[in-house]
Amino acid sequence: MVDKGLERTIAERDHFEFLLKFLEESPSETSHLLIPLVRANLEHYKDTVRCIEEGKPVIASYFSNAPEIFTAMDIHWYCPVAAAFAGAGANPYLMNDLEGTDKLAVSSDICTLLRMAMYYTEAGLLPRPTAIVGMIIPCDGIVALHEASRRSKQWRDIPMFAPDPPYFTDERSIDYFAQELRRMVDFLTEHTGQKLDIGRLREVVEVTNEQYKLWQEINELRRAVPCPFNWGVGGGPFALTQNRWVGDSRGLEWFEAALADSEKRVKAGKGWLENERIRLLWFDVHPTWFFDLAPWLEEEWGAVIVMDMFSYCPYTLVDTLNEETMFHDLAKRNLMDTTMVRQAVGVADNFASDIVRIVKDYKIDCVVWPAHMGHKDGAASVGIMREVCRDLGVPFLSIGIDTFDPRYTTPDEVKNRMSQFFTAMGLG
Amino acid sequence: MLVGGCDVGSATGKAVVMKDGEITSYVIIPSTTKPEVTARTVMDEAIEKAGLSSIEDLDYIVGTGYGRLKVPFANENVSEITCHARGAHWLSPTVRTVVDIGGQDCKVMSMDDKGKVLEFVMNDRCAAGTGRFFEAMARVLDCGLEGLSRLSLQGKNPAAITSQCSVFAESEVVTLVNEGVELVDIVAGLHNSIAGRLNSMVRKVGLVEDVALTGGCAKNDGLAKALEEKLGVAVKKLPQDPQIAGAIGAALIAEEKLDGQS
Repeated sequence: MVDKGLERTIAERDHFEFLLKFLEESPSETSHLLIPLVRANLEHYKDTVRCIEEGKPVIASYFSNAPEIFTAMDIHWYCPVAAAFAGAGANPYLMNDLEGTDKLAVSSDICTLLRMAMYYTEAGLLPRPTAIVGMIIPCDGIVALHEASRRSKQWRDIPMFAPDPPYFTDERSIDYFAQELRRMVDFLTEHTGQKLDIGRLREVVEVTNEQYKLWQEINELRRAVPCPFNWGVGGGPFALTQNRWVGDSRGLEWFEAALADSEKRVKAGKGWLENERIRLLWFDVHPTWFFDLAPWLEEEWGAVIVMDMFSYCPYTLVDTLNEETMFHDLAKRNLMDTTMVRQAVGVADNFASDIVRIVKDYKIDCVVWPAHMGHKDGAASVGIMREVCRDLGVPFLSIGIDTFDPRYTTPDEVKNRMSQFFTAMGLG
Repeated sequence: MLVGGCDVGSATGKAVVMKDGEITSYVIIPSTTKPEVTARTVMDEAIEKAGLSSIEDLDYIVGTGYGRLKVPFANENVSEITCHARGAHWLSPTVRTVVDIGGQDCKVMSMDDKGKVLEFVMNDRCAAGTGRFFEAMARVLDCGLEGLSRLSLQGKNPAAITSQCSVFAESEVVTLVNEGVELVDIVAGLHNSIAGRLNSMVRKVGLVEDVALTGGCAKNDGLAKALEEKLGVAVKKLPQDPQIAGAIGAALIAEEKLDGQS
């Protein structure tokens, strides 16, 4: 029987191979930052294929599950929603996948990212993992995704463990989640045979601590006018701390290069865009079809995404003193800091206070609230954010898009809406 | 200084000719299937009405409306949000909130004392609260658009109509007709339903008086009354045809452009 999951993974690996070759042969100002990101993806897919072919353990898991633990246990893992996240730029099957997703008997108002992952599971397009580590925050939809894997004929016998995130974020809750992470380690050992070496965990965490520190420094430099950071590599910090090369020195090298690049530009008084006219806060995840939108924003309006929701997550640095401090702080970081989890769990205060902070610190001219159809928390709090921006005296635009499906509000419609907004507000 | 504003909407084309800050002529025509033809026809008629010989007599023309990119003779185009706000402010400088109800969308804009847009929200995803909705209901009730407005004002016990979607509202209306509900109360109920939606949009940008209605549906007195009741404030009547507010705004921007050049 053909292993469609393996076939698809091989095809995705080949796509990244092609992308890497293309980037290497077409040097640009961002090549030195883009190429390592593509290489990280390529190696990830190669590792997945190798593990499947050699019968080694592979885990299906998600960001915000303390990925340092996987690295320290030397367990390869992949994220079932990663292909959908990669989007049109890196997923050549996007439109076919969306059409397949449309045929699922699930409500179309569930986040498309999660519906796509359900489709991948149902259609056997993911490599069959040894075990699944689920994630049940920040939204209801993700719980439905795990239910889908329990209903799938191909997946229902795969052992699954989902750390139970407490609703609150006090010390008791953090301790509880730390205990959940320990249970996750036991689960992984039981099903993969791999053990956690605390010394190795310390090494890994020390690297990710450095990565997060450098990320914070890059964010500080993004305050400069003009902004020295380019949207095209904007997803890099998150990908390298939560998904690829986690705790790997190559990831650290990327951060060092990105920081050096921004520093050089700030010292020279240069931004990525020569004529920066609008400093924009895009307060959500970048749409997967962003490659159509961001260059247009720059060329047509001189609009630069100075900050976004993915990038603005002040992460807790983990105290590596001993096992207890590491688990405690990893719990805190993954329960409270990661993008979407940070903003969507709890009340709207994090959204609101982040907007206030970013608008002031980053000299933002306007706030764009993309209002992804799957982010019901955002739909509920848009009025609050509008009022926050009104108080700040900063124009606010809520669009209404599907971050993962360009058919919902097409890139052209988004451009039209943004043009109307910029014109009406006298920006650019 | 002779300038023109051309507002190509989904239902109608509007053109205004202004001379030294005063309206010389204006024309409203039904839109054709080709925006460029609508633009050319309505502008030619406005030019003729103004006693001018050709479009060349105008020093600057600004196009607006959904078909603004298809106004071949425009020196530039500006979004209808900016134009309606500018037009409403010129017609009545005390206006701070504009509710523009066009053929296929509706928008609410808040603005400052200079007519600059501070915030806006729009509904362009469905026909709810637009001219198309009222056209559909007038067709179902066989009373014409003018009749819809007149009947609405006569309703004493507006029917509860929960649907704002024109398709579902049509079903509700048919049910109410079959149940024997008075026509005037059905029509008043329809207006209440749309006024409720507009009220929610106004609250999003913040209700600041004066409030004015622009666009073709602004001529519907029944809608103005229903909106007044929902908002709890009076809707200010504009001293000129509210349907041409966008074209006026476009012409005013044309004047500013010329001023800027000179």
